[in-house]
Order: sequence, then C-alpha cells, then structure tokens
Amino acid sequence: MAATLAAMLNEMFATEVRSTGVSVAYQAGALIAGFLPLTAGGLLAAAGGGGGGTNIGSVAVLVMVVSVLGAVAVWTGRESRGSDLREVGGEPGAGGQRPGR
Amino acid sequence: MSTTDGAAPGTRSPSSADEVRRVALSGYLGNTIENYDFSLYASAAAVVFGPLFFSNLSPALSTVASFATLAAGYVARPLGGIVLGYLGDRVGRKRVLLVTLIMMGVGSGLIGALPTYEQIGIAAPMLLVLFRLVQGIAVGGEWGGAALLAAEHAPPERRGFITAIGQAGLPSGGLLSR
Repeated sequence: MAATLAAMLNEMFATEVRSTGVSVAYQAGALIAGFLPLTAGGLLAAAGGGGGGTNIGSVAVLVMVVSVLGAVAVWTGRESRGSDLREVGGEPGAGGQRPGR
Repeated sequence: MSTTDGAAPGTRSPSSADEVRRVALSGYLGNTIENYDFSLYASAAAVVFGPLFFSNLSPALSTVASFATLAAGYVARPLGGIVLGYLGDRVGRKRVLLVTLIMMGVGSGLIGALPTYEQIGIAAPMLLVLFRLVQGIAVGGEWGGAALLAAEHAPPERRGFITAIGQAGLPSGGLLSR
C-alpha cells in the first residue's frame, strides 16, 4: 500500500496546491495512527490485561475496520496512472481540485 | 526560473534520467533518515526516557509519561504537514525537504544532549517534549517534499516506481532504528 500511496496522492492535486494537499492528507492519517497503539492497549486492558489468556479479538477487529475504510476510500477513487501532473485539476471532474490561479 | 528547485514543474522541460535517479535517491535517503530518527525515539522512550526524565514517578507511571511524549511527535506531524506543505507550494519542495532534514537532525541531536530530570528538574521533560514536537513537525513536512519531488520529476509512466523508491525509505529507517 505504501508503494502506491505517494504516486496516488500526487495525482490527486493540482501543482499549485499539491504540496499542501498531499502533506495534509498524509499527516492527518498519521495523527489518527499515532493514537492506535494507545487504543489497542486500552482494548487489551479491557479484555483482561494482556496476559496469556487475554482475548485479542477486539484489536483484530480494530485493524480490520481501519483496513476496510482504507479499501473503500481507494475503491471509490479515480484511476490516475500515467496522467500528466500538469493537467490535474485543469479539466472538470479531475480529482476535484482546481488550480488556484 | 530555476529548473532545480522543483517549485514550478509545469514550466520546465522533462528531467533527465540522471536527475530522476538523483531525486529518487534523495527521496529514499530523506525518508530513511527522518523515519530512523522519528522511530528511534520509540525505543528510547521504552527503555531510558522514563528513568531519565520522569524519575520522580513510579516505574509504571514514568513509562506512561514517556510514551505520552512519544505521542506528542505524532500530534505535531499534521502541523508540520500543514505549515511545511503550504511552504512547499510557496517557496519550493526542495527547500522544504532540506529544511526538514536539518530540523530533524537538530531536534534529535538536542534530545540526545538533554540533561536529566535529576540535573535540571522539570525543565528536562519539558524540553524533551519541545524537541519531540520539532521532530514531529520535521517528519510532517519531509514526507510531502520527498514524495512530490519524486512524482514531479518522474516520467508519467514510471511515476509509481520512482515514488515507491522513496517510500521504501520509510521501513529502511524503521529497520535501522531497531
């Protein structure tokens, strides 16, 4: 997933706003991801403290839900392979972004 | 307009193969270095930051406090993404990438040089959080700079591969920090 993410995000934004768009999109995800270890730890603690008999199912469900959300986001996106980055946003419906000027 | 600052890819001719290789390599190294520094903090937080900076707390509490400073870095990443991402559009991707690498080096170096709680009291953990925020802002701006430089220099049909080289730097840095 990480391999294609950089190219895909870049193809979503027009050149004038690309740096802002790509950085904000990626780092907003990191903000949420930063709290997942804490969340997973909390789930484990609630399930019995993380010892040998702890049920880790809740953490597995958490990972599955996040994965499905990601899959839906990609599925509903537009295939942009090979597109000209200079033309992104220049035509109606292309990535939903318009050049700023 | 300079052809090497990457600020206005729409106005320049296609990059040479040599240029593309150089950009891919710098993206790879940038991501490796940033992620190495950013991840190394996790190991340090687990092992030494508790006793060094929160020695007045119980061992369990000091571990929690230590991991909270780790999380501060992740909170700062979107801030770096917004501010440095915007600057990437205004002053250029290359310059932002360079600045973020220096920021990370300075932040990590200062964390390594910090006096402990025993030596300077409450200022020690406060400075630790401050420098962790610097790390987070740097990492938040660096990724976009590396990804954009690679994507905008790569020929369209090879964009996926060229940007993926930079992406490989993330696990490389993580691996080195273990």
